[in-house]
Amino acid sequence: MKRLIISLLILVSIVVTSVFILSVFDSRNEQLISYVDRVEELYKQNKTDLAEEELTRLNRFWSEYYNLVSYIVQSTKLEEIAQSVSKLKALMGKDEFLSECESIKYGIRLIYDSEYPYLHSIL
Amino acid sequence: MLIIFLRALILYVLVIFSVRLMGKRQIGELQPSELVITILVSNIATLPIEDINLPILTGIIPIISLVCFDVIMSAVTLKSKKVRKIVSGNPRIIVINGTIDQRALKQLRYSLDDLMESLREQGIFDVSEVQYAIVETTGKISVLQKKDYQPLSLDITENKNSASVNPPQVIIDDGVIIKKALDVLNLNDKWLNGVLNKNKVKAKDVFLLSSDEDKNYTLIKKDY
Repeated sequence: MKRLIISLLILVSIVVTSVFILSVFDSRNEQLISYVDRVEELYKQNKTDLAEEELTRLNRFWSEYYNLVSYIVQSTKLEEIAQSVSKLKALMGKDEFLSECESIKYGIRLIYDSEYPYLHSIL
Repeated sequence: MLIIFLRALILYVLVIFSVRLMGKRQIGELQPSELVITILVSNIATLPIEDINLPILTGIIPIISLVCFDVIMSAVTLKSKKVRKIVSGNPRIIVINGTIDQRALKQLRYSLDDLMESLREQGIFDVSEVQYAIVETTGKISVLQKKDYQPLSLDITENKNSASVNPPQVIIDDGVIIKKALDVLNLNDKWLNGVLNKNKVKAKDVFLLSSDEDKNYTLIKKDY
């Protein structure tokens, strides 16, 4: 009976933690995407100084988020985003800047989608 | 390298904990479902050890979940005989009084060689020496030899002329009366009620009642 209760508690805690992590991913992803959006906007308005400041904030936020998300998501998926984020500063003023921003946003959405239990992901 | 070492250590501790959680039954003998869990756990545990790109949680969560499912399934099978039948199957008699039940053997996909090998392992080289052979749910064959071929014991010397007796049948299993067993032993409800009245107990309070054809019975009351 003790084993049964322990097992049920473990299973419930796994489900609860998974749902909680998913909600954390959702809110953090939104934050990260809003950072990228702001950088893009400032860049398009030619406010490069402000864009650079925002980029620094984006880098800081990504570093923190990376540590959290790496407990759950395969590191190869994260490395691609990390590379794109680190390249952004160097790409300022070049054509690839905006496309790199888009690829970061796509990668971030992919993190959430890879964890969300869609029927096609389960099957 | 240190990462792999630490991951191996964590998963080692986890697998030990998992086996303990599954209980002692798991170590002694494997039911089909338990065999599947054991193979799965050992396979899953190796993945995050070998591949450091995988978060260790991708190994820990499925192992813990599988073990918990197994514990819950064990509890359910303990309560429900129907579920137990579905999950573990039933023991099957394949030899009665020296005669092989060929149909049962075929259904179990056991060859004659398998049967003879199991008998030889138990020191029996002639199937006619077998009173009863049963394939257990674990796949192991249990054999009861005819009295003439059994090693000498006090019981045998005292009942020299008695015929070979079939093994006792379980009549009440955890409070549930098994009518089929009564039929097999040519016993009836009257005899059963007599036994229960004599022991001043109701059927639902009996943990085990078994009897042989000579009406020699064993009764164990529930103590919970």
